[in-house]
Amino acid sequence: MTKVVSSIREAIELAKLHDGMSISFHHHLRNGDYVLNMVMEEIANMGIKDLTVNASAVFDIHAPLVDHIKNGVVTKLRCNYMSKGIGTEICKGIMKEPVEFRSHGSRPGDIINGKTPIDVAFIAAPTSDTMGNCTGKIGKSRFGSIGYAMADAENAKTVIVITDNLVEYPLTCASITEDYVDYVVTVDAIGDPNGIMSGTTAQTRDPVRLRMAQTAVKCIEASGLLKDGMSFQTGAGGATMAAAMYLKDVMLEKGIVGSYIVGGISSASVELQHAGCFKALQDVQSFDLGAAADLAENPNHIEVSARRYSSAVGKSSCMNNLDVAMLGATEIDVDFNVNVHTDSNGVIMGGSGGHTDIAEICNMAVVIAPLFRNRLPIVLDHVTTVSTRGENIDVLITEKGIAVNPRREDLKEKFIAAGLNVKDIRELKAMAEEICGVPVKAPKGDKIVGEVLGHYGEHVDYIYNVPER
Amino acid sequence: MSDIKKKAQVGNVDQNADCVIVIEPSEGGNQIFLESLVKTQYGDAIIASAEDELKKYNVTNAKLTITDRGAIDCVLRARLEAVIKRGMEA
Repeated sequence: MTKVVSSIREAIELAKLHDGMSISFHHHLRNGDYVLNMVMEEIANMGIKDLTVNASAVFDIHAPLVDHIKNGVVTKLRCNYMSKGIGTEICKGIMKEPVEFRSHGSRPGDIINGKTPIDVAFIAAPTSDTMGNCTGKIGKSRFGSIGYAMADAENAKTVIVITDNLVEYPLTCASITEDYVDYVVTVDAIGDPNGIMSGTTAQTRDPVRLRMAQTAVKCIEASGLLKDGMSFQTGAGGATMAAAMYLKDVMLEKGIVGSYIVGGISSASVELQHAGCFKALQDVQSFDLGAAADLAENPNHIEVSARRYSSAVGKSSCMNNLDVAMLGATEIDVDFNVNVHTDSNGVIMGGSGGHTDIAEICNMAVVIAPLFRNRLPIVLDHVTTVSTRGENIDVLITEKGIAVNPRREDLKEKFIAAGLNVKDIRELKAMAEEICGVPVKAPKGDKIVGEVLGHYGEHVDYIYNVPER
Repeated sequence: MSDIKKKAQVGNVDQNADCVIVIEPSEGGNQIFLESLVKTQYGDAIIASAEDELKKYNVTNAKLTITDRGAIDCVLRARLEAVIKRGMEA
């Protein structure tokens, strides 16, 4: 028996895809992904309309999606992250229904609990055998962990694996297994793996960011959490990744061995684990090719599904034992609410990813952001969009001082005792405004173009259209 | 007769937190054209700083084109001062 069919079109026909159905994609190839576009083009050519697309993230490489929306092929969009090219179009109000933005945890949660069922899942797989045992760990287009696609594979009615490296059965290192897969299609290339290192994952040399990263490590030390068994999460921002490197120096110097690093895993995280600073890496997404290569070889670098990573529907997740997390922010307000969805003009340019899940559960959630970026102060009275609620953010680190959430007096006391530059968050806001001036707030439209959902799938905020000027 | 004698340019075209400013001789008063990443938030403030600097140097007939990528006010004013002085050189 073989599940290999001749083309994407044949697989779509066999899946009996029709108007009004829900299809899904995952984003491990980030801005290098070809699969979403290939599949959507075929679907559009077949004349199928009114589809719901549930993609773990959409990047600017997926720009053809905008035409499929305008042409009625796609009428509903669900994702955890959206880059600015597509976000700009969405903010013009091109969709009748708002885009649903979930987190990396609530997306699989809502797939599993049946709130957002998937009819056909398309899995981009760098290697698959003829029965659909597949993985991202090997192959010319390898991207590492395939964690975001696992809930799709396990719960969709029909699962189509699309690969550019078909191998003999059985593939012995499968991440998604044949018992979930209906059809396998081969294509010339599923993507350009060099596109993985896109968006927010480039390493920084910016002195302001490096200084914030050093401060972050001092905060971790002062918090008392820096001890054997510590677990750590770092995002894809420049400063948060730099913090990981400074953390390594301190841990080696003090001989501290942590438990695990979780999240999107970068080469920086791999370096920490190899240096003996942490025992294990729990990887839902490999942020660069170095991390992808390590996942294939390192037995202590494990692949986790998005559900196991940060969902509330499992019995526990990697979040439950998480001590310290470094997060980014586009804006943060005086109540510590964080915006990572929209820019200061209200244009969609991101999404929660794991931000909301991590902040919700972990012991100390630290946001690292400069006092201002391109003249725009980071601290505002009210964020443009609430992505993560302030009650879940513990610390803000800027290059001019640290603000601690009043809910965490304990941390504040420890930071002050350690001689750290603790300031009221309103003081940081005033410092930025003295340099930048007080920004005029951008006008919001009156049409809802997006809804932000939280860790449990609950409503957090709405995103509005951006009026044309 | 314009007080700006020649066209001059300052600034960094592809650098965030900076701006590019071009000044040219003109007639019939000062004209200011602004493009900015933060036009909504700081457009009025940028124009006000530009008018202020022109006034400081008694420039009354110039065309000023500002392409701003989020320069803070002190950077903007330094660029304005430089471009005005260059434009006034014979």
